[in-house]
Amino acid sequence: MLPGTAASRPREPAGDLPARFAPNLAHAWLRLLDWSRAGTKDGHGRDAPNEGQLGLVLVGRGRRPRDTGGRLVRLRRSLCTLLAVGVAASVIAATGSSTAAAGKTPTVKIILLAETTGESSAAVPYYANGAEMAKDELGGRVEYTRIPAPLAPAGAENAFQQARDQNPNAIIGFPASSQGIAVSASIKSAGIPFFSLSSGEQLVKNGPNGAKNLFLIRPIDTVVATAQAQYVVDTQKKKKIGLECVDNATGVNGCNAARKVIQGKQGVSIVAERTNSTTATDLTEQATAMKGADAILDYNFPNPLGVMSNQLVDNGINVPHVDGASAGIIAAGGVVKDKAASNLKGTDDCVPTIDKRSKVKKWVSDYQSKFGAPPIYSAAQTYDMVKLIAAAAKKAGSTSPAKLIAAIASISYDGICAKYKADDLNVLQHVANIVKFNAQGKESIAKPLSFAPGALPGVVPETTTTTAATAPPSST
Amino acid sequence: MSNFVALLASGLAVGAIAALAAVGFLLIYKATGVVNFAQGELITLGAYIAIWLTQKDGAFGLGALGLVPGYVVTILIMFVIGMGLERVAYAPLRGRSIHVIVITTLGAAVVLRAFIGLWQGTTPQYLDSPVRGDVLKIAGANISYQRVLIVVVSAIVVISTILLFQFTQFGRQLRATAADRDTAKLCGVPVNWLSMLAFGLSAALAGLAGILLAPLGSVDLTLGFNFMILGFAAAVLGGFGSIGGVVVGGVAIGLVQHLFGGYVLRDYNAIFPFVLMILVIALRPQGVFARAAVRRL
Repeated sequence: MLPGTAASRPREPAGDLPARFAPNLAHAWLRLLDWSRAGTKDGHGRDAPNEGQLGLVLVGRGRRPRDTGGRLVRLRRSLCTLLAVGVAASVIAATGSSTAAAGKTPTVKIILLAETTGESSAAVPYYANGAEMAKDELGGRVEYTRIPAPLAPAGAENAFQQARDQNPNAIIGFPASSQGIAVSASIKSAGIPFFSLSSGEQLVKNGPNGAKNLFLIRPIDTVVATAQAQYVVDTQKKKKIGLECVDNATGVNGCNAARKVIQGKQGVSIVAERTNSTTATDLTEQATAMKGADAILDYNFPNPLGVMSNQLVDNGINVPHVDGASAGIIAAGGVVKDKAASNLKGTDDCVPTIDKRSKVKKWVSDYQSKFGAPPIYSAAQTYDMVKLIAAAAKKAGSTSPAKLIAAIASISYDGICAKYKADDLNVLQHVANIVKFNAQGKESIAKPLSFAPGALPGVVPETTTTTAATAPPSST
Repeated sequence: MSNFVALLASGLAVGAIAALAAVGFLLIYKATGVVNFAQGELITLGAYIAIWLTQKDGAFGLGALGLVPGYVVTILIMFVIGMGLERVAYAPLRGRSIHVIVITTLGAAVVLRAFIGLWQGTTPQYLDSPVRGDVLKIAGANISYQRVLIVVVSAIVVISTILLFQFTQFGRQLRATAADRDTAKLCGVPVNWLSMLAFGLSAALAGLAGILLAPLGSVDLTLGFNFMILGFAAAVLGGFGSIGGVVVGGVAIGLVQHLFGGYVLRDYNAIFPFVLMILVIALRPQGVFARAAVRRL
């Protein structure tokens, strides 16, 4: 009798399913080995014998007998064992799932839709680094994948569909509002929790491109732009304002918000309003037009902001020059120094490198030793989101979209950037900072800001708070 | 008046950089008949190499070079890179359709941009200048010395290139190759070596343009792209003929964008160079300064 036949097999032990299937797995392995050996050749190109056929091989002078019936039997047995392996795997998987359902933390599958260095001219490593760091800390609780998402809407849609095909439990992505807006219909139809890295006003829950499953990590950009204008007009008491707007959504939305604030204040006027392209390398006309302004509100990209800052100083215009997040980027890159740096202010919703809290200091140090460079807001935000999703899954006890969305909407999570809590618009963060720079470009907080949850621009009262997550007590 | 002077200075500076890019185009075009669309990325690469050599620990941690020596070494490195580019992106395709080679130069541009991104990242950086922050006051206008430097250095380089073209064996051989490559080859002109030199010189000019341009703002992966387009428009205006023609084309482009655009449709001044280019193509396809080829039958 050939080994491994039904008669020679020991009786299956009773007990739990994995234990019962273990001998069958071993048996299946043996059968597969047996089958594979049957097809191998010897050194002369002949069929090599397997153990069970040795005697027959000798009789047949190295040729295998045409034993069609035996081959069929072996085929049937192998198929049976393969089937058994499949059943065993299913049972083991089902047993695991039932464990999760019974209260253990489920593994949550997260996909990040963002590019990293080298994938495009605008790509930065921070998004991927932050998410990867959180995944490493969470271990088996998170299954993480990154898919590069180009800035072009078609590319972003393609990346989203790729992510959706992998059946994730949550997606984090799209650093540009234009991406999120273009893909908003797909995000809504997917129904999976989606965490937007950009914060266009259109993406809020009741906005034209919002959805119940779409959460905004950062404060709404027009809310921040409004606060930036209020800082200049109300806090700094400036009366003659110059407006500079980059010729895309950032500039248009920002300048619209600023115009509303300025026009709503008596005695405050716009001295000059100019636009520039994202690739401008000479802004002589724009800079000279700002003569007479006692502050300049700039809603720009880093490169033209650097050009503008330096050209303002060249033209003897030394007044506060207030921009958004681009200010921190050019100051860190050494693009502005001396007067150009000390004139410059920016808004930043997360500045981990100057946060005084011990847990943030430790995180910054860990990040720097892992990646060799200090983190910026984007690294902290993806780190926070991966952790927030894991916490929500733990709270929900499930990774089903409905339960996860409900948990995210109700959870309060204290992260590196801020204390996240979803408001009625699905916005998770409600703090930011006006930042300033010294002559060497070193950043510090000029004024912490907090925004009323669920508020859109125009109804946002400017408030000063000492509870902003990134605001050190020593800030002025 | 001060506004006019400031705009004139900025137009001349932009025109000078566009002229350098256009001369780079022309050199390669004369030697090979190919328009090298990697010229913009070579401008960007020049700026990044200068940053690499002159800042922090310098190249390979050997210590930062002084600004002027760093600039000179950058231009030499760019010359070598240009010759290498000819070997990998042009030489293997010699004899193929011109379209294939032009697309290959575009491919080379994409590869160069990705390489710079991987090497230096995408965060804007700054290249220092010996005249940073200094301004020249003329008729009430503050003109940064960097702009003056751009105009002066570009003028010197362009005049040197014209002299090189007119009075050296290299120039004569290059002109002979441009007139008829096959005949030049039969007459013993080393056309392959010439095309390598042309790529090298063109890349060196691009490196110089990057060095001059970078201190005006910040350096990122898109720095040179605009000037590649402006340089191409300048070369079209000049008719891809003489160096003088493309230089005048470059200056015209700078002035129409910044001087004319400083007063009319200010927010759209970036389109004026291309409106001018289209007008020239429509009215005088051979370029403003080139003579139309007339063949008698």
